[in-house]
Amino acid sequence: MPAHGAAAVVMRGITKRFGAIVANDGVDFDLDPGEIHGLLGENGSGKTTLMSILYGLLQPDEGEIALAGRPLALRGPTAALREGIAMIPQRFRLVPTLSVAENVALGLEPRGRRQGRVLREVRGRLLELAGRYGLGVDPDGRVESLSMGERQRVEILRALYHESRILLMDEPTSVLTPGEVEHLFAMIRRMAAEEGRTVVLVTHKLREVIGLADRMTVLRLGRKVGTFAAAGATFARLVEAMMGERASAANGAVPTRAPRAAPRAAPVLAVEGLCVRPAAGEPLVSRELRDVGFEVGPGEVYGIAGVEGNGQWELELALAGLIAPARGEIRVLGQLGIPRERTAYIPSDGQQWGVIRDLTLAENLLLADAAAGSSLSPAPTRRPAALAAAARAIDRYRIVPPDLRLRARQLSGGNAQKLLLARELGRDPVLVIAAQPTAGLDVASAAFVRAELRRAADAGAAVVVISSDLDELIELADRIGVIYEGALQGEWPAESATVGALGAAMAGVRVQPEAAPA
Amino acid sequence: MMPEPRATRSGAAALAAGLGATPRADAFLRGARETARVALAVGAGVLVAAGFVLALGYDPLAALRVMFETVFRSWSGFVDTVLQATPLLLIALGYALCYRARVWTVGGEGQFHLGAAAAGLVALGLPTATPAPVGLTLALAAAIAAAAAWALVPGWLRAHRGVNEVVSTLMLNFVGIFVMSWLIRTVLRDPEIPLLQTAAFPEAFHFPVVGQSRLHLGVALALALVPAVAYLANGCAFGARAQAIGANPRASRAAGVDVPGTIIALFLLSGALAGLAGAAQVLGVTHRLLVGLSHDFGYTAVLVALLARNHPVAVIPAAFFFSALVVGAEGVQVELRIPSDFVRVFMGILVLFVLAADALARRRAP
Amino acid sequence: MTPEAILQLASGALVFATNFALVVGLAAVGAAVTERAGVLNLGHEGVMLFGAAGGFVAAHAANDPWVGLLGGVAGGLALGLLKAVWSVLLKTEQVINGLLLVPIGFGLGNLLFKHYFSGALEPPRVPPVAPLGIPLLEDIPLLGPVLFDRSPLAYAALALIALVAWFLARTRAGMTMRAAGESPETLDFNGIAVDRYRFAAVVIGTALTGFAGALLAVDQLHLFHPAMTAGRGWIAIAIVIVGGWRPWVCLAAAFFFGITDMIQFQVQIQAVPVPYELLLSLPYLATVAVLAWWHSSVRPPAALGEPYRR
Repeated sequence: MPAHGAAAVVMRGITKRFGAIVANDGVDFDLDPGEIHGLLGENGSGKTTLMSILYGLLQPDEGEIALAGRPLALRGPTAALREGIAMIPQRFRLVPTLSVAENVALGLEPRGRRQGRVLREVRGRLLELAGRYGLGVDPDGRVESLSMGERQRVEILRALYHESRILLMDEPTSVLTPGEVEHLFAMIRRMAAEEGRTVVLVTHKLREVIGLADRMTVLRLGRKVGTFAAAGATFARLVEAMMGERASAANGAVPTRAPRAAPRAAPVLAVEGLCVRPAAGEPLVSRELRDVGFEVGPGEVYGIAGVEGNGQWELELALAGLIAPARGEIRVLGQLGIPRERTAYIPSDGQQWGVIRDLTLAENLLLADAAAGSSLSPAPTRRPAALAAAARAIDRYRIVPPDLRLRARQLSGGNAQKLLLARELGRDPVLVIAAQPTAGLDVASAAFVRAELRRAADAGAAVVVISSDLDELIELADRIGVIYEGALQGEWPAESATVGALGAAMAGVRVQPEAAPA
Repeated sequence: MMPEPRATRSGAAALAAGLGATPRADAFLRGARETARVALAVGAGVLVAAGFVLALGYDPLAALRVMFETVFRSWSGFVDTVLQATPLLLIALGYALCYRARVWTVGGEGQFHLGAAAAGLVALGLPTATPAPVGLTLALAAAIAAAAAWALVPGWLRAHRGVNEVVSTLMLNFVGIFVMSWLIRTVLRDPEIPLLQTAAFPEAFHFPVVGQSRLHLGVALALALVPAVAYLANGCAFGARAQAIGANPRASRAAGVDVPGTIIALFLLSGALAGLAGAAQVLGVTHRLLVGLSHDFGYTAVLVALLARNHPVAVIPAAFFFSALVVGAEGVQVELRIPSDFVRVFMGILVLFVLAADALARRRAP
Repeated sequence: MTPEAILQLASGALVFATNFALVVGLAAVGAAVTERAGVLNLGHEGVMLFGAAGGFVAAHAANDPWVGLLGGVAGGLALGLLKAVWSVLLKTEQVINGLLLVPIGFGLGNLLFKHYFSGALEPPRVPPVAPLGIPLLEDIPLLGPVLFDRSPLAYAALALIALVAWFLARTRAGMTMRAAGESPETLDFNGIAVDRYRFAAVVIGTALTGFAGALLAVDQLHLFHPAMTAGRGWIAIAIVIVGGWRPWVCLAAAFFFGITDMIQFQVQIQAVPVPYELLLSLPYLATVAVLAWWHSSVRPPAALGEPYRR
């Protein structure tokens, strides 16, 4: 392990293929010791792949890595950790049923030592580290009881525990409130400046990284576009590097909203006094919802902002009709309950609840029909009219590869989400519940999804968008509510919804919104 | 997160994905490939079994010869095979429907016995003057109802409480067999014969047979049900729902599929089929209720369904094949003194090889 | 009934229940280890029977009950290897490949028995093992003889359960194995080979179940019969759920099940006017009832039943 400060990392000609897809194509990437380096690119540009290779999770098909001039053969994360490279992943890698100390102790070398001794040692050092960096944590607390921000602290502490000199942080701000982001950045600055650690910030959020990084490397479609020093890096230059010719077309172009019709019609969705509680028989619910109430009219987009883990998942489940509330009512068009056939539901966890990977595109697209149709009627996939409609949907949503007989697992994330959207919006819904609809999508797909949601609203549906992406909500929604610890903190009309106001509410600061509706 | 693939022309993409140029050709190709895989797996299984038999000191070729002769050389052997294949076919059809949805019921054995018991109750309870079609129909209806009701308990528990259906159906198998035993011992006991069996059913309540043979109506019923079950499995909306549930129950639920309802329906259907098998056995073969009615049909049927890879039509050859194995094994035990237990091992190994073949194929073409 | 008769009855019943508890509990602990690592094995009935056959044959051949126990372990290991290859290496559907161990285990077990005893004129038996009394404790009224004056094989089984409980809770390997069933991605991220731990867990589980089968044949029934396990392996699977995948709780649950089984046996003997088929059904009905009751309040390992792929 390097004795003092970080050493330079040099990655040359890194190529990594997954079947036909080239995730990294001859990428060169350098890290100077003690720098903060931003690794930018849209979703799918190969950033995480490159860092996974540096962390030993993946082996490159071609290319070399050198640390302090010495060539490295990282056969696994254990080797990387030994070399002082640690990764803080985007989706946390912690065992929920074990304690913080046990999680840090997992895989610690040397492997043969006794459990009791290792845990004592880990506990002691964790407390020491926590104190030094102001990352309060209870080493014996179970991970499953920690908030997202606290879990990230554990991930960081684990990296510090291994005395890693090079920290690779993958989309670290996605689960933090604006306040927590500031705290994180301050800590990063300290680690780089005072301790000489190298920090790589992998992100697609340009704005965050511009003030923080010393240098920025941009990847696009698996290739490196260029490395920019902080001085010469303007927003425009970086955007162009990230997205090429599509920069002006895709980025920031929001379809102008149709002016709001002044008198509001009767609400389509009326939620009143909604309470959800964790209960023995309902394993899906882990947080409480307390007295949530709001209304959405036809043609309106209602945004719900909040950091993941504050009850959005439970709210999403309740709005989609998948769990029964402990108290309160959800009415759609005056009737109790969710009319599933006229409701479009885009689940936040697309992997588990969204597109069914083992079924074909046709079967996925027509699942709504199969669910609603009478049991003995011919399967939609056997009816030419239904298949034709499915083919039209593939066309309209520009889903690639456009073959109905392919299995859905062949689709990329963006196309899978479009498939889901096609199926759900194809119901001609009166109500749309979209949870984290653009998470992990490349810019083009994300813009497409937002445009479709807007279009559904324009067609008269009530649209609820639950998202932790404030920019997206501010762009899309007519009104935005903030959810914090299971309760709605307030409601802001689009005009007065600023990142500052919303961010404070997301962090639990009680702010009186300027024009709060009754 | 992988980058967006460049758009390819549909035909090229289809071929690359191993699909035929048209949906028809596609289905044919897929079917041919799967059959070849199963044949290969069966061949491998036979080789392993032969090696095992050899190691135990017996002659595998002789065993094969005896099996073949027992089943095909005599008319009686052939009929035996068909008759034993019938309950296997019916029960396996029910299993195949369920397994596509990853509902792992093994309750056929108990449901079989309850169906038999209900049919027996009707056959012995109805006045002998009842016209045969009425009596038989009532017996069948009673059998289906009883067995489906028996399947409802584990079905509901699985659908609404997530209770492991393998264990629950298995436990109820034991109980179902006990119920029939109790009926035989008490209510329906034949007072004249000291054996544990009921009186013979009245002539009117025997299944009609083909000519002078023992081939009874049940065989025809079973075969006739295959296209119906095939439609249920593949051709209708219900089957699409079951398939989706098998692939991803959560996503199915999120998409609006009535998961609990579909699961309960699957249990009821498989119960009905197994009950029908039990009724057919007592009405067509034994003409009375007795202990030892089933030769583990409910359990062998699990293997039949797995070998047929849950395709209703493939259950026909699979059921016949396994029935031939069982009948042939009896002959081998008599002639060559090889215990018939080896056939159970053989069946298990066969299905293991089929599983392995599927897994390896999946690896090569995800 | 006289007090002595009641005491006699109770004592006999408790012996019966503890016998049941040891066999079913040990198999349940084996199943629990496997499931906590994330692999579902539904074939314990077959493994137990094969272990019983192997154990019986080994004990008879070597004229030593301890060799019999080893024979049971060997049988369990063999089937475990099969299961592990199909579940962890080939990653085929775990429900099915486990179920297949039942016909395979039963078939192989019976074949083994018949092959070894092919010339036997009368049903072979294995002599019972002299009980090992623990001084002082064995003199406690009622519980003394039941708990502290049993065969050394039974104590060995108990010690094995204790060993496994300690392993899971207090060693690093045990903790890692538990993590493999809760969050295999985390282990992978830490550079730990998930499949290696799962493979080991499967084999350990079946070895324990094989031991349990041998215990049943060699120490409790002293004979071999083609269906001697009578559903114990299946009940063990249910007990794992009820016992919350915790070794000692599983043992306790198995004990209570044993009491249920014993009740029906006693009731039969006492000639109570209830159809004996109903009594025979009691343990099976109880299993279903308990599963139905318990199911909402237990949480299985998060990654149970799903093969891990990167």
